[in-house]
Parts: sequence; C-alpha cells; structure tokens
Amino acid sequence: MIHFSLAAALLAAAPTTFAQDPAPTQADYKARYEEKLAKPFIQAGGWITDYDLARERAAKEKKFLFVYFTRSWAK
Amino acid sequence: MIPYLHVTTRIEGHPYDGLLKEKGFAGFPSLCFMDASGNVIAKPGERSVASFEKTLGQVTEVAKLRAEVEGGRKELGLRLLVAEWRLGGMDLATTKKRAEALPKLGAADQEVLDQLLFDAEILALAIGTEKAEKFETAAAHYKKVLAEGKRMPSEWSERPFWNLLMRKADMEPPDPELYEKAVAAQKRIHAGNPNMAAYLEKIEARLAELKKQPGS
Repeated sequence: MIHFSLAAALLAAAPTTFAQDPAPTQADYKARYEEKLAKPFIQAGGWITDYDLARERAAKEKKFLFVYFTRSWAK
Repeated sequence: MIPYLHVTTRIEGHPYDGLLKEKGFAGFPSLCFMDASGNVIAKPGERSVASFEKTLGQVTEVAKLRAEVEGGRKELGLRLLVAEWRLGGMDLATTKKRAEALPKLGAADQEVLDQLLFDAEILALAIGTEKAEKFETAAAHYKKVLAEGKRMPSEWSERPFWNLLMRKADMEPPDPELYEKAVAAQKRIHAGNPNMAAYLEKIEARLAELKKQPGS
C-alpha cells in the first residue's frame, strides 16, 4: 500500500514536476531580442548589430570585423 | 577593427539569422575575425585573453600587410601570404595558388615559401584522419618525411605530425623506435608547460612498456 501511495503521489506530481514551458512565440523571440540589445555590455561596447553596415564600414575604413556571436532566443 | 555583434534570434525573417552556422560555428559565444566581404580569416584558438590577443596581433599584421600590398608593395606578398596562412583558415589549394602568384623570389624567401608549402601539406594531410584510410595515407607520408630527413615540419605543423606518428607507432604492430622519436618531439614541444607534465609522464611510461615487449 505504501508503494502504491508513493507511486500515486509521484504520478500526481508528474505534470507539474516535468511540465515544460510552452514553446516561445515569435513575440517572445522579439521581446528577448530587444532585451538582449538593451544589456549594458552591448550598449556600452560600441557594437554594430547590422551585418551590412558593419561590412560597409570595414570596407570603407579598410579594417577587419571582430565578430561576437551570441543569441537572444534562449532565456 | 570594427566590432560586430551577431545575435541569433529565431525571429522569422530576421536578417542573417543563420550566419553562425553559415560561417561554420556551432556554439555560443563564438568569436572570429572577418574581412569586409564576410570571409572568416581567423578564430582565436582558445577562449582566453592570451589567445585572443595573439590572434588580434596576427590579424592586425595581416591588415597592415594587405593595405601595403594593395598599395603597390608587391615585394611584401610573401610576408602577407605567410601571415594569412598562419591565421589558419587557408586550405592547401588556395595556399599553392597564392604561392604561384608571387613574384620571383630570392633564395632566402624561396626557402620560407618552400617551408610554408611543406607545412601546409602536412596540415592538409592531417584533416579527416579520424577515418582509417586518411590516417594511413597521412602516416605513410609523415613516415617518408621522417625517413628522408630533408625537411621537417616547423612549429606550425609539428603537433599534428608527431601526434599522428605517435598514434601510428602505438598500433599493431607497435614501433617503439618511432614512438621514442615522437616522445622526444613531444617533450621538446611541451617543455616548460606544467599542464602537459602528466601527459608527458604518461607517454614516457607507455614508451617503457613498448620497449619491454618481445621483439623490440
């Protein structure tokens, strides 16, 4: 009986214990992107976030790009 | 240097959202240097300030040399080729093509170029050696290089050269003599590096085992 109760309790708890967050929507991704761009290390770092603009400047100034790849989609 | 931040967003239609994969990277964060056309010209070897600074120094040198060669100083073509090759992104075919396009070189410069092409071939052979066929091809070539003794890999290609020969020497049938040469090379390459001390001890112990085996 003890085993049965334990199993029942675990089963009852399972939906909350193992529940996953719903898949992010496009609105979530957009919000996360904005949040990322607002971070102090980006704001203060002088980063260009437009690829075309960065390459245009590199060509004009005869310089290379230093590229930092990051992501905003994950929390 | 132009600082460019790329953010993978997963927003539909977001410009260049697949750039990370397109440029051959898989994880976050990743760092690299690109030219104005978007070609990756260098990746810091390790995630450390020292590694970044080393790569930055190399990239700065390449940028300076490119500007001078483009400005007409063709005699710097070899130095530019060497500097760009040492960044690590140039394949053997491109290296050879670039070498052929150089103006006629004096004896000392020709020697530099010959060593570069030799190193480039050593490195090219090391690619894909997780597959047995490529491994054996590389091992045969490296053993021939060693037997001939005419030219040896420089610091730019000696690590894969000796690593592969060491693995080969420890396969059936084992070759303690070759293994010993590889151990000596590893000790020279990693001399003074405390992080490699345990590794060096391990390969020396393995060498002692190989020497004890019958027939050695």
